[in-house]
Amino acid sequence: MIQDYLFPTSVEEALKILVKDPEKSKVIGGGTSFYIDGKELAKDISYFIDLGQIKELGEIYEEDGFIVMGANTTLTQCSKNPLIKENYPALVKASANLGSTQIRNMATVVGNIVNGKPFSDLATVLMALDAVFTIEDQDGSRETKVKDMYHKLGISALKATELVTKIKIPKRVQGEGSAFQRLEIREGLSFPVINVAAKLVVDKNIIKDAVVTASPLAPGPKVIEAIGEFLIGKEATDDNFVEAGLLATKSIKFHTSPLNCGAIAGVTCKFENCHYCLNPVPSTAQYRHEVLPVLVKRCLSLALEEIND
Amino acid sequence: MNDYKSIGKRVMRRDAREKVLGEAKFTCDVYLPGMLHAKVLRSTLPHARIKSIDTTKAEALPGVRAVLTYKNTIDTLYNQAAALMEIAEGQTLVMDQKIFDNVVRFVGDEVAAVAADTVEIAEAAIKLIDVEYEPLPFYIDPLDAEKQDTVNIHADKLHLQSAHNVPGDPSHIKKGDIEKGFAESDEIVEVKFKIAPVKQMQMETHSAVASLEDDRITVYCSTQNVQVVRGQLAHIFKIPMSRITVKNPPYVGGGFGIRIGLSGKAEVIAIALALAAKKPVKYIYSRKEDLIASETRHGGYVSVRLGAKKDGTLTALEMKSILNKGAYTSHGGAIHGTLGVMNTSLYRIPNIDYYGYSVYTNTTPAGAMRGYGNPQGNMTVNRAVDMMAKRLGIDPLEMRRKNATGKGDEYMLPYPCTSSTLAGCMELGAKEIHWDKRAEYNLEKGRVRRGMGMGIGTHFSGGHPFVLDYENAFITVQADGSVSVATAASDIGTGCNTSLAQIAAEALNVPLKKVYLTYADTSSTPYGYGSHSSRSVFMHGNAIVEAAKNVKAQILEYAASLAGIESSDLEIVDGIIRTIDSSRRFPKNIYARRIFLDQEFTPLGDEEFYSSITFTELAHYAHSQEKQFMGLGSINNTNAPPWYCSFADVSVDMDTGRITLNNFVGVHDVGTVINPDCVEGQINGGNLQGIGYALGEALTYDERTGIQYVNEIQQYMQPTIMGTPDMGAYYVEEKEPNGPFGAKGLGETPCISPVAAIVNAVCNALDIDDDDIKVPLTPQVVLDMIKKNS
Repeated sequence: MIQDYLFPTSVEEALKILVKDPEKSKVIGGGTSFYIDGKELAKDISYFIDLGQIKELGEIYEEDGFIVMGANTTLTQCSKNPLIKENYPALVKASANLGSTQIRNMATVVGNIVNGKPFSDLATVLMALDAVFTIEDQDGSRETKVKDMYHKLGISALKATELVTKIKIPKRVQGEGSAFQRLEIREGLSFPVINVAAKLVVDKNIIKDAVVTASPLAPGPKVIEAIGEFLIGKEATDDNFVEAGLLATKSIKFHTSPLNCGAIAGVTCKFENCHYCLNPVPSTAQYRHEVLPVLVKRCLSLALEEIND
Repeated sequence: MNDYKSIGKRVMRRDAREKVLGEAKFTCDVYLPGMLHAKVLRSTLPHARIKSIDTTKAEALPGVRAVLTYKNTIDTLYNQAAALMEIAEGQTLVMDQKIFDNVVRFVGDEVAAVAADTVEIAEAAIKLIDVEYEPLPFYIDPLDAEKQDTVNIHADKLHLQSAHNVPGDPSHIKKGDIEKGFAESDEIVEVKFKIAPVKQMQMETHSAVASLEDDRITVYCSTQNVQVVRGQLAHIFKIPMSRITVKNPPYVGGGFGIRIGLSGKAEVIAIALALAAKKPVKYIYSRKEDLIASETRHGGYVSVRLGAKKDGTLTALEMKSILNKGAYTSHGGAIHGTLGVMNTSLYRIPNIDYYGYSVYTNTTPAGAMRGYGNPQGNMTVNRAVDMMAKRLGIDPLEMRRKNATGKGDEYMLPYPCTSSTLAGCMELGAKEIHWDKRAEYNLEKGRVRRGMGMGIGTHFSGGHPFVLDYENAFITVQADGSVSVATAASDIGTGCNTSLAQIAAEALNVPLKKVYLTYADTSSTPYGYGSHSSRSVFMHGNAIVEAAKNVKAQILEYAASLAGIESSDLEIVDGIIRTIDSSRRFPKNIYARRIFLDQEFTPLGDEEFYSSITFTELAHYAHSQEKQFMGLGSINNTNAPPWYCSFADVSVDMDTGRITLNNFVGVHDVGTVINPDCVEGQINGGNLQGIGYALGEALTYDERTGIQYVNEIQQYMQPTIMGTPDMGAYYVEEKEPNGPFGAKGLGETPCISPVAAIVNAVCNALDIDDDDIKVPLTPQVVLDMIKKNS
């Protein structure tokens, strides 16, 4: 039963409210993923805590070699911010294409990760960019990376008394480029068949660093370690990128979806690790594996094109 | 093309303002005093017998006013499609549904319903109903269900089945000698399509509000034809039609065939609960209920074998369809019948053999959807024609110029081809899509390939003579000279309450602003079949033209009697009755009007006689003499074929199978255009629906559980504006002799041939002759095609 919809004006106040009844409180960033199932979910919620009025969460700035993004940053703000545009082409691409204009104007970058969905475009990119999340509760703050943001399928590792307050991403270094590729059945308003993000650092055409991530994989995206191992020290050539793509498909395991789900006719999904909930876009694991090398190759080539001089 | 005053004009739609402002009233906006809310318990198994059902806990919940199951609900057998009121004597009428049954036949089938004070209480009560099922074997694919060793899904109605699990009659269409046709051919091509079922995705889900007043049942609902529903309800509840009122409130948020007849079980459940609780009841389907438990388009298998001579002359067409009926018949035989008859009529072919039927399975029932079986055959036949063109080295456009059926040709349709501008449509479409660039695009052999394709088609403008189809209209000239037109159309979003008013205004020759339509209400309109089968303008329009003739004759006769001349000496121009020779004949005393002073006056001077009189003046004078002008129009025994073509320009990503639609053009022969905005709206909307059908829309079922995967709107891949090119909506006009002012059907046609055009474009881009096509062409399907053919 909903008791109140609250607008704290500071992180401190928000945490104070949150700790009162954490299990029955729902933190709202943009609210766009909550509203999909809102009517159903709202039955168990007493307090909505909307972060929208907290000014300190609304800024994007540079600090100690990082670009810092407050938790209220919307996808639209992210894709249009000069600092983000200067540093992370992959993040611009991902945040400019998710959902629809209306969703991007409301949804926050942080929300796309803490909703725990395995097919998050932003998590895939932020993992490749080695982003760090600052998480606060009344006892203090801690920092964590994307891989530790997921507890299990569909559930984030964020505790009920905690808030993500900002995301810090290492500033782009000399010779760095990044890119994001999303395969979808239709343009706009669809979950991805697969997502791939890449960060590449090249010096005199020799690859100094290469991180490639992919999703949807449970519970969150994964770094395809084999690609980094293979590419670092090699020349940034099409042939090597093709080879990297082929390595990719050997190192991760996609699932066929839909596979099983009882979430219908008023029944909640009863399957552990339900591949349907994992990714509602119908596609076989085989197809995902077939196109993964293509997307990895394209992503690396695009990242190379995006490298700053 | 004409000097019409109302016809062909871009007049603003009469629903535009209300809809834009959010003021338009739909069924969900209907609130009656003391109204209860309904919720439905649905089956979680695809096929099962109910062993026991216990509703005591639900009944005990405070606020619950009625709980219904098969045990305490009227058990009349019926068919929720319009079939019940449409099937002519001698044809098989399959009635295989009850409001509730002790057997459930798909996941989502209705098991019980609750009426309660609030939606929340009703929802809580549903969860308190205990059902014990005895599971039965179930089938997802019609090819499985038709095997003899399977369980019969309607074992108690075998007399309604022409073969095992095949309800009603198969469709068999024959012409000439098919074997001789193939023997005479130089080339034969074959192709088989596996087509996924898709959804109408109308914006408003099925809805009904039922109430009992003065010994009458009144139901507001989302049906496409109120009069048909009245007949169905009379049959189901065994109450005289004259004691039932059915109306739209008046708006309906889309139809696309999903409620030709009852809006699923919205009306019957709302009425059954209202009768039990003795209070008004509202039942609105959730989107999830709409997706899993309201009718779909038929999926299934269609195959074609086509023979031709070297010069491109077609000699033989053999076609077969096996469609997935789902759990109940609804629109059964008419669907595979339409599939066959339309697509054996597109091209001039002397030897034809078509055989088609639909098979019961345990999936969501398949019913009517925009195109009514036509698209499934259209994509297959048009694909075969392109394959043949390629085999013979003939351009597909040239192949169609040579073979397409034209005006006056004999074809398989049971009404003559009285008009066709298809040839002109094809030329315009080819120009707009830049067909001349097709060969140039085909030269690109990189990782992105580009191609173009086209498809042509025909359809109907109503149900005659496939089913009963007649129409009526009343026109009353009110005492102020304004015109009331009453006909049982439903405006399901097409704008027919504007275009039918335009027809009435033109037929009477009065200004459009003087004409108002009463529609979608059984208590104030004559019997008719409503808005489906591309018939609203054609059939309701024709009935209105007849009624207008009737009332016009009365008006002229009365005016002539006042003027002491013959009615043939008079004419009506812009709402003014005048003598053709301008002679002054109307005596001054008939202009002595005291009310409706804002209406039109004839400027009077000192003269004793005048040459004209306004509608208002004449109607008001008649009123003062205790007379009203009332016209009746009836129409039957008519139909006309609309024609159309679609063109698609696509690029295919050879590595992912992803298709990009570069350009899309639909060109339509609609006869005379009544309202260009409405026509273009229909074409654009239909194109989009066809594009979705081709590229991503599909319902799929878990073979182990029978559960339909798509149960949220976000999982259903309708096209978005992001992936849609700027489409062209075009038409080439020619008067259809049987249509009102030359108009014919359009409602369905725009979504019929897009799939053909897109499949042909993709095969052209890939330069392949795949004989086994799966629709929709998702990236995965296309990548498989690429691999299979490389």
